[in-house]
Amino acid sequence: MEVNNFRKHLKIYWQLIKFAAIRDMTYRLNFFLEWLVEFGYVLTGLISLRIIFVNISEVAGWNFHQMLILIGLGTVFSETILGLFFIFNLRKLPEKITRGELDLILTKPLNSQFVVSMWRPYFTFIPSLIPGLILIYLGFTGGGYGFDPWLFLPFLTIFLSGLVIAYSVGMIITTLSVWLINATPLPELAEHLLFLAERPHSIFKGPFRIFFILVLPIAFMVSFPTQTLMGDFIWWWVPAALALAAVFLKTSALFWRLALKHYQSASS
Amino acid sequence: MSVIRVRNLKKYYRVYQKEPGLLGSMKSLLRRKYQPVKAVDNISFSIGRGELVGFIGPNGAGKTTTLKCLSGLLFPNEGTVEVLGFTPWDRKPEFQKQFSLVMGQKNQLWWDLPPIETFILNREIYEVPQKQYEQTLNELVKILEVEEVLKIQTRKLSLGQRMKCELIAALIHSPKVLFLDEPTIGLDVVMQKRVRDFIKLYNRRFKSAIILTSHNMDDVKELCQRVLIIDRGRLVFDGRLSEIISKYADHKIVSVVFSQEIDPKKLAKIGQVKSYHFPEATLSIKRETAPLAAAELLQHFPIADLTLEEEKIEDIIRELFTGKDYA
Ligand SMILES: Nc1ncnc2c1ncn2[C@@H]1O[C@H](COP(=O)(O)OP(=O)(O)O)[C@@H](O)[C@H]1O
Ligand SMILES: [Mg+2]
Repeated sequence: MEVNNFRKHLKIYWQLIKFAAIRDMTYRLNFFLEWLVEFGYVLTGLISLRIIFVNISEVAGWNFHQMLILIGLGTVFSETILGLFFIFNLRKLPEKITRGELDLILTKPLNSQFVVSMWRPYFTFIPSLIPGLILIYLGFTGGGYGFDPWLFLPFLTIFLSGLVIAYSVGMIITTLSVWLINATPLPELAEHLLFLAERPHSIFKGPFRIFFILVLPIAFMVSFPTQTLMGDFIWWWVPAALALAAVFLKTSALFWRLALKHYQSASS
Repeated sequence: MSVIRVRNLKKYYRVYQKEPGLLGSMKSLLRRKYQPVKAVDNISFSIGRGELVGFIGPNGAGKTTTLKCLSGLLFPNEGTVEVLGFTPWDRKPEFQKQFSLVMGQKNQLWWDLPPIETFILNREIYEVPQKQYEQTLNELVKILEVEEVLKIQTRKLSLGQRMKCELIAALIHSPKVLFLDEPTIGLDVVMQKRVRDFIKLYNRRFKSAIILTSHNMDDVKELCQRVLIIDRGRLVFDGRLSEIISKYADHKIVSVVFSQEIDPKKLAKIGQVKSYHFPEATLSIKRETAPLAAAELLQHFPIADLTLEEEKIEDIIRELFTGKDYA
């Protein structure tokens, strides 16, 4: 039953990806421009990083090439989160709620959380991953780091768990819009909070360090995965990441269910 | 056997009162004032298999809210609803697979894609077997005559073509229960008629229970044997359309043809003159005094012909609703 339902949603998601591709390709120029903007964004980031590292050799224990890898992975992380869940989905949720645009879709035999957070993937995010991957490559080759293939699975587990946690945090914050009258800034607030993840975890001191591991576990989103990639891996990250991902995802689901009971639709 | 059973349903909205300006916004953040809007206030009814029921009432009376409760979109404040044996707001997929909600002002078709893509997606969502899907689609497409638009981007279709495709998208899983909220709104007269004919045909052909809301009396008159009238969230009438006359018609219509011109002022003493263009006139006269008035007319006026008729249903209902607009 559960498995069947999951398969059905996967199939539908595949359909939705195809739809998104067709639509984004219809606006080819747009697609290209956005990609260009994305690339420029990474390039300016790179230049400012170079400038910072002219005078100092380390930031919170990270050297220039390590920072390149961190920023590269951070780009992959944020593009994925934004593309899959935010840009056309959670960002529009408050507006859709106030306008009652969810009515028809919420009557369908679908998981409603899936509907509001994944209905329209932003296809352009895929080429936007390329600059991130280039940065990672530059960091590795420039710094002369090796990559231990044994660490790939732990890396992937932590990184994907981090994505799930990030999505769940975004979902929980955005869900509040069911109760609030003017909630359009909520998704943006969530995004800003999540972008804290793109910094090295070691810049946070004392209670903040614990806070960003346990309460709002952004350490698992970019910082720990980057360290794992570079061989600086601590074993408990894997079970902790999995457990946190499960807890956060479940919490977001429960919270969304509660919110739906308070859904008022809109007068039309 | 009833397919839909509604008992003492109440749905109150909380509408927040926001004071103007920034200060008002901040104040309302701290202490929110809200007023309950009694959109649906204790209504009960049941609907049987294959019934096509008209749900009418002035703007803001609570029709859409009722349908949203029946679709499981809204949690009501009180009352019970059973649709096909399910409580709608439990949002069980087994329930959701068996009904459909169509709203005249809202669309589910993907704007940038041809309608056929939405149909295919709905096939997956409702898990309709391929063969059944093809059969249903072919039949609906033929009845609605939309073969040639299936592969054209939705954004390029006319409103009428789009509405027809909306109907197909809503019916591709052969729902046993159908809620139609103002399906003819915004359509031209010809298209209204075609949508109407389709609803009638669909109801006969598939025996699905249908609730139809409309402020277009032609829809209701042509399609529904039974109507529910809702006013300020309360059900004020539930019965056959023809019974409305005995319940609400307190006037009769007298039509006369005069053989000579008469003084309209004198005519006005008999009853309310609705129209007078020599040689014809119509008057609206209180039911009890209608025979008397007719006799008086025959006695004091040069009459060539006189008929006594019931008020038209749409006039009665229009009168019930005139001046009312709660939205
Ligand atoms: N989402 C909502 N929030 C607050 N008030 C609403 C909402 N939807 C409807 N109302 C109010 O509830 C009443 C009934 O509305 P509705 O059910 O849409 O009426 P109808 O469909 O009969 O025109 C109206 O007064 C309307 O303003
Ligand atoms: Mg309405």
